[in-house]
Amino acid sequence: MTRAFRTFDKLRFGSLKLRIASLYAGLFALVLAVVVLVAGNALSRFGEASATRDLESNARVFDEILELRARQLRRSSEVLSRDFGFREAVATNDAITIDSALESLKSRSDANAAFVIGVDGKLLASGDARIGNPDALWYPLDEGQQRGIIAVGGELALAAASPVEVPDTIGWLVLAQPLDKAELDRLAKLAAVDVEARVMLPAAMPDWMLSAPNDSVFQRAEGQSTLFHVSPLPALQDDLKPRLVLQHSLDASLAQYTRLQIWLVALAIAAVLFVIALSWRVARTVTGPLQKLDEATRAISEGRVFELKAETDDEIGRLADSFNKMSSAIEDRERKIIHVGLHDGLTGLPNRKLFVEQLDQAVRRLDDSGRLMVVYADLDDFKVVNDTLGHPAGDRLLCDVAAHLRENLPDALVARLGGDEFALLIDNLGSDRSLAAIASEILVCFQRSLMIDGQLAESSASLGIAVAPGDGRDGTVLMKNADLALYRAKSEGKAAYHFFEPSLDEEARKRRQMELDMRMALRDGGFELYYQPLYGAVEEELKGFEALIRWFHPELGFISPAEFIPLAEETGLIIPIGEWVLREACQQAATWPGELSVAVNISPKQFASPGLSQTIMQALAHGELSPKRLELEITESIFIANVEKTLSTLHSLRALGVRIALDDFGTGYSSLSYLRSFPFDKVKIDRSFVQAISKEVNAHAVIRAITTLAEALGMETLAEGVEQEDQLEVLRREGCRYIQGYLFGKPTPAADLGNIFGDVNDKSKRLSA
Amino acid sequence: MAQKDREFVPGTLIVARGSTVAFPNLDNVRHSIYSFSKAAKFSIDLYGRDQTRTQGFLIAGTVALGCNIHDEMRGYIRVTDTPFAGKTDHNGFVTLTSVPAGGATVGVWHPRLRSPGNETSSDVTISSGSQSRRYKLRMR
Repeated sequence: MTRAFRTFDKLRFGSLKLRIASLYAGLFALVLAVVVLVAGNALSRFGEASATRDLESNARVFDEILELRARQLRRSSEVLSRDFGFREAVATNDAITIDSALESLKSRSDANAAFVIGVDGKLLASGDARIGNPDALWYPLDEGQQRGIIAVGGELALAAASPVEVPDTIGWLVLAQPLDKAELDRLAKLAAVDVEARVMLPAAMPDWMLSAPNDSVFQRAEGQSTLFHVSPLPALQDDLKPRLVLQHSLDASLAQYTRLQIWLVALAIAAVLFVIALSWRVARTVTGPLQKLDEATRAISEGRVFELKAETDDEIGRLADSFNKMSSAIEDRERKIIHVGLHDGLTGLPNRKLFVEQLDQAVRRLDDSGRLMVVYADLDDFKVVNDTLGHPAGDRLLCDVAAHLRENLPDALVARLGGDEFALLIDNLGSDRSLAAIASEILVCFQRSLMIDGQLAESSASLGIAVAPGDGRDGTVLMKNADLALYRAKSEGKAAYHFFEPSLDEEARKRRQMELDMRMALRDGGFELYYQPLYGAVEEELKGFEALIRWFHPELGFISPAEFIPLAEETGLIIPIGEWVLREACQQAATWPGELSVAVNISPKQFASPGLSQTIMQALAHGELSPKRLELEITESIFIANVEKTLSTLHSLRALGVRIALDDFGTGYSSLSYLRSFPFDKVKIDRSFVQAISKEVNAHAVIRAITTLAEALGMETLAEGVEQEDQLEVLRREGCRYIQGYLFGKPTPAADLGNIFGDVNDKSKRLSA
Repeated sequence: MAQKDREFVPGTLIVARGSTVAFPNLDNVRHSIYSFSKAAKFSIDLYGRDQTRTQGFLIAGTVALGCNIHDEMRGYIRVTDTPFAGKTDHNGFVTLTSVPAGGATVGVWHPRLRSPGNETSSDVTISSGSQSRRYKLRMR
């Protein structure tokens, strides 16, 4: 049964309505079919049983009727057998008298045979009856039997006998009535059901009838089903074994029940049809609302607003209610999501996407006389705030700036593009307003000072400004141009604004090209290392070389490192370039004689990159160079970002066994605290001090101060840019250990170094001489 | 042979040929007497209480008596022409005395004896002194 349901579940209906209707109608039909089947079967059984019962009772009735008849016969015969005259006639064997009396008895009692059998078994008077064998009657008569079947003239007849007593029995008067077909048919008509009756002798009976049990109903199908009842009849003749056979057509009696069954089936079909109609209706009340719900769901998925009407307050009504609540909740959330998608989470300002959209709209709206202004702003040194005060402080600063901007520039659309970048859109600028004044106003708005956790955080911004329609009639172009102007403002010193100029575009293009060229050079080996000798002032011998990168552009020729290194820093290309330099320098230095060292410049970005130690180790291993022969030159600017982190990096580099020199000492911050915080191996005195020797009087004093300080801290000193003999003289006198400059040698390609090894030594010898 | 309580009393009577038998009616109902027996065919009409009819029996044989209005009444008179006849007692014993020795025929009659004429007979030889015989009879 469960499997049947599972099979039903697997059926595809396409519609729930059809499914429910079929399920119910099917179930009902099934139940009804079983009921009809059982009822039909029961009807048949009942029909059979009642036919059987009828036949049994018919058999009893027949017995009763035959008995009654026989008794009547006997009464008739008794009247005569008791008559004194008749007895006298029989006693005196007066045949003529007897015959006449028998004749009159026959006519009186509707009998067809009347005769007298003597006590000796002889037929005394036979009337005209043809009694075949009177002896066969004698024994039953002598036994006292009074009724039974006998054969008269070959026909079976019902007979009754009464003794003739004078007073002893001298014979019997037998009176018989025929039991032929006509008589039996007449009797059969008395029965409640249609019965065919026959009295048969065993000789005339088929075997199946002979072997059938007596006095019970049995069924036999020969063409059609017939019920039979066979019962023995008493015989008054001991050579007769007559049977009463009743038969009744079962088919005929079942015919009436068949009509009843047809009615039953018709009724069942009508009921099933009714249930189908009903379940279809019920299914519709369920699926109707579902269909509406389906429509509503589709409408909502297509973005339309759809309100379901709750018509009832049952489950369906509640569902409609919940659905409406859900749909409005979805709408709310959608709005929120859109807001989140178009706004910055931290400051609540519009984000880049919304800004671009609004800008595009504003540009489209722009009429001939109107102008609009796109301002790109970038907070100056925001990274320092984040690094020193922490990100929460940075976020607070951003929020403060944003709030301040919104408050003071109500006409402007302020957006945060990400990080410390903001953008402003000022629409509807008349031709008479001063753009510079607006720019200054915005610049002031960015200048905030905020106390965060007891520490003062100050902010300022650099602005890049593009004005439509002059600088572009397209949002994307305007933003790009404002960005270029910002780049220029940043590079020209901070806390300033810069308007876009077409030349900026050209510069930007060049920068892009140069970046591409650098990548190509890196790939194709376009860079080359030159080596400038370092001279030991005390030992008066060559101590090593500083590796300097050179780029010979295939089209533009020599490009100064001052030109491409900042771009490489900016684009991050400095990392792969730096790696290359380290590897190349180490490999080269390994080929040099003696303990000559090689110095390599490490840029701030490279210094901050996490893979630096790894890169250095690999370069050393690759060139099989002893770590102490490698010197890393680092500028003071690495301390700006995060002193702790810088120190830990320096210590880890020192742990590799390489030497570390502080480059360009004396320029920039030149804080002595750096020297105290980390034991550099060497301090490189900036060339500006060396060049000052010839011109300024107190230059000597500065140099002496540096060398004295370095010596006190246990650091070596090196002077860069030495070009003249007198400079050398002063430096040596003031205690500078190492000299580098054109006086001893220009940066030279690796291939030409062989000549220098001897050359420089010669020169130093010459100098000392 | 009396009629008492609608019965012939005694039921069976043995008389010598030529005897006359009286039939007194001792009942308070009326009785008739008839016989279709070969030995004596007669019919006596109804007669009342304390009346008596008589009938002579001249032929030896068995006479079955009936009453025309009381079917169940049966009476039997055996008319004999021998002095050696007797009726058995209730145990079926009868003693005949002074029977001369020599060959003889013994006949046994009973109204329900299963035999033609309700009688069987067998030849015996009578010797002097007492003898006893047993007869086995089939009854109706």
